[in-house]
Amino acid sequence: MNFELSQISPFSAFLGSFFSPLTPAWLLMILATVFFWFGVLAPATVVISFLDRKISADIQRRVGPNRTGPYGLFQWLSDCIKFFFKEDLKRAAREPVLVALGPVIALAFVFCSIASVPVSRDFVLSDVEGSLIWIFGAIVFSNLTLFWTSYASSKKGTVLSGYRLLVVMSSYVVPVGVALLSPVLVSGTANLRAIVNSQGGFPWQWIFFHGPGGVFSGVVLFWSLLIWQGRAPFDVASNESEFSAGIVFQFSGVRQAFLIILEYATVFLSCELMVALFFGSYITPFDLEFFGRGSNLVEFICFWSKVFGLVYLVTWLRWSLPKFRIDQLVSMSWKFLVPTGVVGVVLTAAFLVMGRSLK
Amino acid sequence: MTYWETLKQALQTLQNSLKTTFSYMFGISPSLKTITEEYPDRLSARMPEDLPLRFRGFLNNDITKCSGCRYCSDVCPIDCIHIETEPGPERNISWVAVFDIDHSRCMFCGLCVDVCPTKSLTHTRNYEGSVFDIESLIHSYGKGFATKEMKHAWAQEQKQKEAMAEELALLQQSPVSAELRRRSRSEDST
Repeated sequence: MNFELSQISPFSAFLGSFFSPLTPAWLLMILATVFFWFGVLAPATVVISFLDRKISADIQRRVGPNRTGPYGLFQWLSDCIKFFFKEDLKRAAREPVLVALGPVIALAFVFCSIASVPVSRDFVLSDVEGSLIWIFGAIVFSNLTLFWTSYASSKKGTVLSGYRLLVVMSSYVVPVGVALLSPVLVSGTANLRAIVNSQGGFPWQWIFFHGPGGVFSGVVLFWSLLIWQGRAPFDVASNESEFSAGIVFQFSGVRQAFLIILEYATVFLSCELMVALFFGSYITPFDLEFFGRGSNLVEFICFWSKVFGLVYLVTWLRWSLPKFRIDQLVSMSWKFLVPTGVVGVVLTAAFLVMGRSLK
Repeated sequence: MTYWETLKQALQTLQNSLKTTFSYMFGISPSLKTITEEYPDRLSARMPEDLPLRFRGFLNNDITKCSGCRYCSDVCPIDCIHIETEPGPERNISWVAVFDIDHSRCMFCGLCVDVCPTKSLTHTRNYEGSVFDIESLIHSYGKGFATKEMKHAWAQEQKQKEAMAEELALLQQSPVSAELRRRSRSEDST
């Protein structure tokens, strides 16, 4: 089968337009991956870690990191260097291969999902046909991999923490699946790029305000993705007060850094998904003919401002709500999130039948 | 509680929590602004003048007043005061040769200052004691082991000081009796 490069990876095609048309596609894709990694993924993780610390400090009347670089902007760099110098402890594990591979595979799933989310009109690294379904699977699998890791450990607390992670997984999977139906119904496709393109720039053209169904589904998706992130107030599986009984504690050095990066990457992916599915991620209200190729940059700024707003909300929620008990989490999920999600889908379908369209 | 009451309570909790933390953000309420003082870059609030009245800073011993009684080193819970004395002209006044306070161990409880009978040991208001090596935190106030001449001169000095102090006390009590005493002393000497 012959593929056009722009069908699989629009970002590679965008880069290819700068080089001669004879460059092989695999080279372009490698280049595109490198550029995407250093231009979008790594900065996003770094920026979100910085934002997390500074916003948390602001809420707690502190200053946050302000020594390493102006306003603490290079704190990520000193953290990176610190993790490289830490000793890589190999705590005794029943299955050393699973324990070692766990963080890597979880991170790989999340990063590959981030690669499928469009950041601007040409900056999609991998535009799979049903990218939303792939991302949904990757979300589930990343937690499953962490379960293998904790299951293969030799500490009792870690194994129990892995089982708690499974319970948490059972409470976010169904609401996410139900809430994902709304944008798919409205735009008629499961391709994330097409879903974004079907929305407009103004708020009334977003799927979130497409009738009450959009609001219900949006809230359910946001809440369920919060549960997936495993941050407070949903940090049932692995949290700061029971750190030595959790999943992150088995590792030190760069492997621990993997898991910390995983947390921020999940935050980024959740906010990206919310923004792309419900808030018209990079579509601007005004016309971008004037900018030509530079319209990518304008749309990137639009995308980032929306993601930043959601990251602010996620961090704000972390310090506002008391922690959920695991039975409260499960009952909230099954008694509130799933019915609300179903109601959202039904309302969205009703609005579509009534003939409302987005643009 | 019914399903709807539970839902309403959950939403109210959410609203209250968000409202509480919202007032902390951006320093909206002036009483909830950032309280971190970035010492020593920006001395935002604390200057030495802002310290409380009875602030217990580093210790200072006025060795001219110190009698070498060892009350302070006896009461110190950490034994951070090291005193060595040589006998002086009278039983209650010694030549304080070594008086070392190890400020790296001192806990600034103030007991030594409380018991000092001559009030030579006092707290200063200095709290900035960062040094590069810990030996520098041992502050020495002693006069060092003395030669005979030094001790003799010091003994004379002490006698003179005592006489003057007595005279002053008497003068403050009653000028008449001071004058009488002075006349009787001058009669004795002649």
